[in-house]
Formats: sequence, structure tokens, C-alpha cells
Amino acid sequence: MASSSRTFIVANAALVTLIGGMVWFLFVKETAPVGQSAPETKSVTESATTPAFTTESLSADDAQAIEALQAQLDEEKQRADKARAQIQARAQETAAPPVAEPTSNQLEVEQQKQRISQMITAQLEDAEAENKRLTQALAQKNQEIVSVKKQNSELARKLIKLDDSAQSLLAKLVADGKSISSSDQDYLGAMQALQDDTVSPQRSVDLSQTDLINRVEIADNSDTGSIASQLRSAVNELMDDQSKDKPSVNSTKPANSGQATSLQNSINNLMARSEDQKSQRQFQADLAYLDSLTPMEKERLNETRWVTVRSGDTLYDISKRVYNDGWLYHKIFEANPQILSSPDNIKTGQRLRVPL
Amino acid sequence: MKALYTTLISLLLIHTAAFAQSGSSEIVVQITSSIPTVDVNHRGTPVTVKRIQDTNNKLVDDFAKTSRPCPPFCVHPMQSAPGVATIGELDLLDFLSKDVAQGKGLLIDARMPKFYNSETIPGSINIPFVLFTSSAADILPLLGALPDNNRKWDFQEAKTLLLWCNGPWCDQSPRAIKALVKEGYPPEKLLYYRGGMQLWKVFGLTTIQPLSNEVGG
Repeated sequence: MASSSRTFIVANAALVTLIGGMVWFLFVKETAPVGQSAPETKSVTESATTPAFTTESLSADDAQAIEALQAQLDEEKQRADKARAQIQARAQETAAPPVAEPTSNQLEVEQQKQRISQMITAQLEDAEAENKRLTQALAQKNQEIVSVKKQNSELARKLIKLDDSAQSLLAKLVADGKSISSSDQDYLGAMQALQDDTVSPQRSVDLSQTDLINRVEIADNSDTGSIASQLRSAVNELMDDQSKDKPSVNSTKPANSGQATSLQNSINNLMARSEDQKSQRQFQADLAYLDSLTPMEKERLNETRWVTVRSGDTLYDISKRVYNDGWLYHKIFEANPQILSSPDNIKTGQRLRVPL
Repeated sequence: MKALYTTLISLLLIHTAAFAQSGSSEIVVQITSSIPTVDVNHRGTPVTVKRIQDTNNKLVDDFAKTSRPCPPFCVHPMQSAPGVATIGELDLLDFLSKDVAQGKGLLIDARMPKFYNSETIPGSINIPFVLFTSSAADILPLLGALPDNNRKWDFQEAKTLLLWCNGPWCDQSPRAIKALVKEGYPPEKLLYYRGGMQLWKVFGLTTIQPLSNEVGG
């Protein structure tokens, strides 16, 4: 029968397709990612359930065969579903990373870790060995230093001993007056007669600064010494004048203006004279000295201006005379605590200090 | 990063080297351009021999004198005795650092003790010249000479001696050297520092004052 052979061929083709699909699914797809397998299995089963011919042209036998096949297919489908579910479950358990080959990567990492730790251990061992070596070298060096020090002190002892022996030999020689040759005795006598410091040299550290300067600078004809002394004498003069008794101070002008001018003149003259750098330096030093005197000088002036109380004077009057302002009388009072117990208690003839 | 570190470290090293240079130039008055100071030993005490750093320093004591009576304080010849080398300050310092430190040499202040006790060159021991001229038999064994059969001396083990005295006008060490040569001391084992204390002080080099245990100069 043509229709049955045709059906037979068709049924065969369907069966082959089915089996092929199942084989493909079960064997090939196992190694594929689980995620991808789902849609593909769907397409296999879909294509299996949509044959290229219609059921109207089939006989009862054929229909029966197809039904049986259909049942088989359903069975297979169920089994495939179950397998898929199992695979999925297993995949979830192992929680594989979404990377192509997670297992081999882990292995590599582990291997690397091992390699690194081996390297570190090796380095540590090397470092320890080096440390040991250095400690030994250090100990050796220390020993060397100690032995050198010992050698040095040993040598020093020998030298001192030799020196001492020489001294005692000399003492013996000197004690026996005839032993020293006459030539040597003459020479020793000449040294004695030399009377210079080489016999018992005066060490330059023992000489005072002044001595040194004197001994060295005697031939030095510099003017700087005299400039310094001139300045000093000028200042001293000034100070001496102030301390002399000046019974009444009539004017309020600074009494030393005259002397100040002459001092200034001296300074100017001396400055003109000092040309070379050395005197300049010395001169600057002297000026500094002079500067340092000024506050002292002021202090002396403060202390040494005096006024004698005239008959009928009040402190106010004196203040007016001296300061041109009577209301500054308290300055005079404060400057004379030993003399004045109160500003009113002044007596004729009293000598009062009058500060600037 | 590595390059940066290398640069930083090399800069640091150069900087340190530069400072090291300027450190040694704090000694304004060196002994030579390559020798700022020399460390020696004097009777067991370490001493740094250097020069007086005050560039205005002058000799003010009697080592500044120029004209002592001659005779006997005459200008001495360069050579003290045939075959005996005359040396200078640098050789003396070298001798101290090497021969004396190794126990093979002696730096001898040949003056009478009062000079030595007053001021001497570091590293010196005092063997006054009269011991060489008038007491050779007693002093030579102390210097390593061994008596041999012919009433002479075997100087094979004898030390090298560097003798000095007050200066080129002083006769003490030349007398000592001549006496030693007369006794047969090998001239190549004798050295004459003609400059003496005079030249040593002219350079402002460190001296020792044994009596006070002070270091001067």
C-alpha cells in the first residue's frame, strides 16, 4: 500500500528526528551552560511537536503509531525535564561563577599563592643567613679593634718604660760628674748662659692678652691706640666737669652743650684722621664704647646737678628757675628723699639734686 | 616610581658628600691639602696633631728669636752625619703613624729633660743626647742593639731612630746622631729632623706639655 509505506517513511523520519533531537539534547547539551540549555530544549521539543504534515492524511494504523510515538516523546520530554531540573539544582549547589572556566582559575590562584609563599620563605632564609654573617663580621671587627687597642697600650707601656730607663741612666750619668764629656759640658754651660725662655719656655698661653699685644705690637706705630685714649679722655673730661660743684644752675639749657660740641669736634677730627681699615675698626670699637657711655653719662648727670636753696625759696620757685615750670617741683622732691621729708620742708642753704 | 626613588637617594648622597666636604674645610689651616689633621699616640693618650687655626697667630716666646750666639748656636748643615737622612714635618708624621705605631721606630727628643718636660712633639720619648755621647753602652741595648762577640754591636733588631732637638741652630740631636754613627748604628736606621721644635712651632703644630699633661700649640 502506498499510503502505508508513505506513512511508514514519514513515521520513520519523525522518529529519527526525535531520537536525533534527544541524543543531541542529552549528550551534546550536557556540557553547555545550564542557562542556555533551557530555550534550546524548548526549540527541540517544539520542532518535534510541529510535524511538516497534517493528521488528516494518516490511516488509523499510522495514527496509532504516531500516538505511540507521541506518548514516547512525552515520556522522553518528562525525563529530559527531570534531568534538566537535576542539572539546574546541582548547578545552584556548586554556585559556579559566571566565568567561562572557574575551576581552573582557582587552581591557578592557589598555585600562585604557593609559589609566592615559597619565594618569601626563601627570602627570609637568605636574610637570616645574611644577618648571621654580618653579626659574625661585626664581632670580628670588634675583636680587631680590641686587639689594636691592646697593641697600642702595650706599645705605649714599652715607650714609657724606655723613657724612664733613659731618665734613670741620665741621673746616674749626672751624678757621676766626670762621665759627661767636656765638650758636652761646655755646650750645656752655653745653653745655661743663653738665659732664654727655651730653658723653661714661657708658654704663650701663660702670657696675658695685654702682654701678648705689647710684645707683638711694640713696633707697630698705629694711631688707633692713641685715638682710643683720646676719645676716652675726652669723655672722662666731660664726666668730670659734671661732677664738679656747680652751686647754682641758672639756665635750663643742657649745661654740657659746650662740652658736647667740643667732643663732637674731637670725634670729627679723629674720624678724618683715621684712614686705614685697621684704625677704622678700632675706631668703630671706640665709638661703640662711647655709645655705651652715654646712658651712664646721663645717669651721672642726673645725679650730679645741684642747686642750693636760697632764702625765701620754695620748691615751686626752684623748679621754675631750673625747669621753667614750677609744677615740676615734684621731680626735685623725688630726687632728694634723704633731704626732704615733705615738699614744704626745705631750708635755706640746702643742696638739692636737680635731675634732668 | 623606582626612578623617582633613585633620584631622591642619589641627591641625598650628593648632598651629604657636599656637606662632608664643607665639614673638613672647617679646618681652615690644614697640614696639607689632603691632610687636615693627624691622629697619633703620646704615651698612651691619643692626640690629634693639627695646626693653630688663628691666621693671625705669631710666635711670641723665645722661639721667635733670630740671633743666638754662634758658636755654639750656629746654623747647622742639612746633613748631620754621612748616610743619615734629614727629613721634614710630613715625614715625621708619617714616621709616627707607621714606624712608631708598629713598634719599629722611635721618635726621640734628644734634648735635656727640662726641655722635654716643658714642651715636646707628640709621640716623642726623651733620651737626652748625653746618653748617646757618654753612656752608649747602657742606652744601645734599650734601642734593640745586641752585644756581639767582638765587643761591638749587632744592630739587626735595632729600631729606626728619628732624632730632633730645639731647631736648626741646636746641636743636641746632631751630637747624638754623630755618636750613634760612631758606635756603628746603621745610618739608614737614623733620621734627623733638622727643623726641631723651632720649625714645629713655626707651623703652629700641636705640642705636648708633659708636666701639666696639657696640649698646647
